[in-house]
Parts: sequence; structure tokens; C-alpha cells
Amino acid sequence: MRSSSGIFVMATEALAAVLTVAIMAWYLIARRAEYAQRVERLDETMVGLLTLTIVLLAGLLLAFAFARAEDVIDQWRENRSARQEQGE
Amino acid sequence: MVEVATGVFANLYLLAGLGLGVGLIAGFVGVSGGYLLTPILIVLGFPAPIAVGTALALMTPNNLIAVIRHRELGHLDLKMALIMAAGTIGGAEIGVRLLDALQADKGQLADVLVLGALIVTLTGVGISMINEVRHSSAMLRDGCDSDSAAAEGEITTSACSFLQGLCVFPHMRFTKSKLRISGWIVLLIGALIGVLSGFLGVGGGFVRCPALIYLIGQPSMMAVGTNLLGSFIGLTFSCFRHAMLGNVNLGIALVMLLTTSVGTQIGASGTEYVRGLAVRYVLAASVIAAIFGPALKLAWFLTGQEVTWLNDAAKIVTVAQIAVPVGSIIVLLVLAARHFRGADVPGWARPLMARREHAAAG
Repeated sequence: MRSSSGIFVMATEALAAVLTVAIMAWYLIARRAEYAQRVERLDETMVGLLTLTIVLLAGLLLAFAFARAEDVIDQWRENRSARQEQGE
Repeated sequence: MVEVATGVFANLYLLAGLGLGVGLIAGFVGVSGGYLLTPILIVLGFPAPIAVGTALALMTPNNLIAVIRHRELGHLDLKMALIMAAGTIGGAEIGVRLLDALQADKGQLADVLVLGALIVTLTGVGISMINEVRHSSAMLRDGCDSDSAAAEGEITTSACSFLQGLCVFPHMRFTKSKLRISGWIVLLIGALIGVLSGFLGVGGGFVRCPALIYLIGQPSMMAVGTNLLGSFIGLTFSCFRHAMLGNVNLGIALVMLLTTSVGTQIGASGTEYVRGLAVRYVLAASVIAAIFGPALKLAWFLTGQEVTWLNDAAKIVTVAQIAVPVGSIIVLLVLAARHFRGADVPGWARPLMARREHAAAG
């Protein structure tokens, strides 16, 4: 049985990962012209690599967030059944 | 409204909502969802190359999440996945160059050809899926569970017996899949799927998975893992090439990724409560439904973009084509929840529900 602060830390980690992706998306939409200007100076191979890095980083962050969210749900269920057993 | 390409605007909330629906369908049926995404983006006004590039940039990380989730299952023939991926990369390069050449041409040739190729591919795949689902339903009515048959043994078709028998050097042994086949055949199938990936912006799972099972003769469970890794490598390369050509709208891709990935997780969890036949019903329905929106948009292009109701109808049908499979999944999951709790469900739904002990274990 894990303490509720442990569950809170895992939930915060998941939320932070999702928020990071959301901020990346917001920046790329709100500052589209500025980003396009910066990217224009780069070689096209570098543009490809940069784009791929951003999307794969977002994928890794979301995979981490989903794994943490699953852990939170599992721990919460485990704690609830442990409490029920203690009550009996 | 956000600008998605020069002078083209789209509603961000609509895109996010459609992303959630596509994710739910893709997670439920176990594909990357490109066959739904690319037509949606084109119908909503994205130029074809931007639609293809953005769909690829969205599916690549979504596929990565699936690969990470499935890596523990061990259902993966690395040797076959890598040979097929080599072919996919070559084919994707051809697809990307073809689309780039068409884009350079004046007019809407790229849009017309991408939509036309999508409609032909989806019609072919949809018809073969309907036949397979009808065959499985008949087997189930006769008391034979097609799910367990597919899970326990390999499906041997005359095509895979013929291809495995072709002694073209190098005739390779794939130990994990327990079969021998020429490396060239695996490479060629990968290359054909790569052309689809680069040209149409699809992961190719809806073609690769049946090809691995029915043409190469791989066991069904092994085909799922091999397909995921093959898709990921192919998607990564196609995404990189389209990004080099400036065809990716990163902001839209990331916003849609957030909702699509959530939908994928929910859809994937839902498969624990239904049988494989229910999943195949939804897959067949979503593939067939995905034809109508692009067909109306294609008709709009072919009539010189003068019949405006065709364009409006295409948008409405595109939203509906997502709503129908999503609605079916929700109905199936509600019925599965009732079945799992021991409540009565309609007779037609009973053969589609997973056994209670199986769902409880999941």
C-alpha cells in the first residue's frame, strides 16, 4: 500500500507531462509565424530532424503520462481494497 | 479559428474533437487511424500535402505510445519487422516524391489523386473486411469461435502457401513466426505499404496486418506487434521527409495528438470487454464509412469547385463518418458493462461480448 502523497506525486508527474505537450502546442499555434521565421533559416534536413524530435518528444511525454496515470489508478484501487479488508 | 496553411483556416475545437473520435476508433480496432485522419483534414480544407504531413506527424508519436505499451507482450518478430521496414522506407520515399511532384503541378491534381487513391484503397480493404466478418459470423453461428481459432493457430491461405513455397534467394527462416519465406517477398510487401504511407499519409496497419496474416502466414498475435514496429519505422521516415518539405503543421498535430492519444487509451481498454468479432465489425464499418466524405470532396473537385453543396455535404458526412463508429463503440461498451454486471443484453449483442472471466482478468 502506497501513501497518498506517493499517489499525489505520480498524478502531478502525469499532469506535468501533459501540460508540457499542451504548452508546446499552444506556442506552435500562437507563435506560428515566429516559429516559421526561425525554422526558415535552417537547412531542410535540420527542419525534418527538429520536427521529428518535437513529435517524438511529445509522444514520449504522453507515454510517460499515461503510464503514470495507470499507476495512480492501480494504486488507488489497491489502497481502497486494502482499506476495505482492514475495515472487515 | 486558426490558420492551418496560407489563407486556410480551421476550427481548432472541431479538430480536437475529431481527434478524440479518431483516437477512440483507432485504439478500439488497433490501427493508427491515418485512413480516417487524412480525408478529414483534406475535407476540412487542408491542402493534400499539408494534410498528409500533419496526419503523419500526429500518428508517429501516437504509434510510439502503442509500441511502448506493447513492448512487454513480446509479440514481435524483429527480423521480419526490420526487413519489412526497409521496404517501407524505400516505398515511402517514392510516395513522398510522387506527392511533391504533383504538388508542383498547378491546380488540384494532388488533392484529386490522393482522394481517388484513398477511395480505391478503402473500398478494396472494406470489401475484403466485410467478407471476412461475414465468414466469421457464419462460423460463430455454426458454433465455432473464430477468435480462439485465430489465436491458437496460424491461418493458412492458398496465397501464403504459394508465397512460402516460392524458393527465391534468400529463402529466410523467421524463428519467432515459425515460417520460411523469401526475404524479397517481405521487402516487396513493405515497399508497397511504404508507397501508401508516403503518398496517402496512412500508417498502413489496415493493409500490413492482413498482409502479414493472410499473405505471409504469420500468427495473428505476432502480426500485431510486428505491424506496430513496422508502422512506427515507416511513419517516422515519412514524417521526417514531409517535414523536410515543409508539409507539417506542428501546432495542429500536437493539439490533435493530445486528444487522439486519450481516445486511443480509452478505445484500447474497451477491447477487453468485447470479442474480436465486434472489433472487426467496427473496423469494417469505419473503413466503409470513411469512403463517403472523400468521395463527395472528390466530386466537388471534379465539378470545378462550383457545386458548393458538395463541399458542405462532404464536411457533414466527414463528421458523421466519425460519429457512427464512435456511437457503435459506446453502445457496445455500455452493453458490455451491463453483460459484465450480469444484466440482460439484447440477443444480437451476446455473441459480441467477451466472456465475463476474461473481462474480469483484463
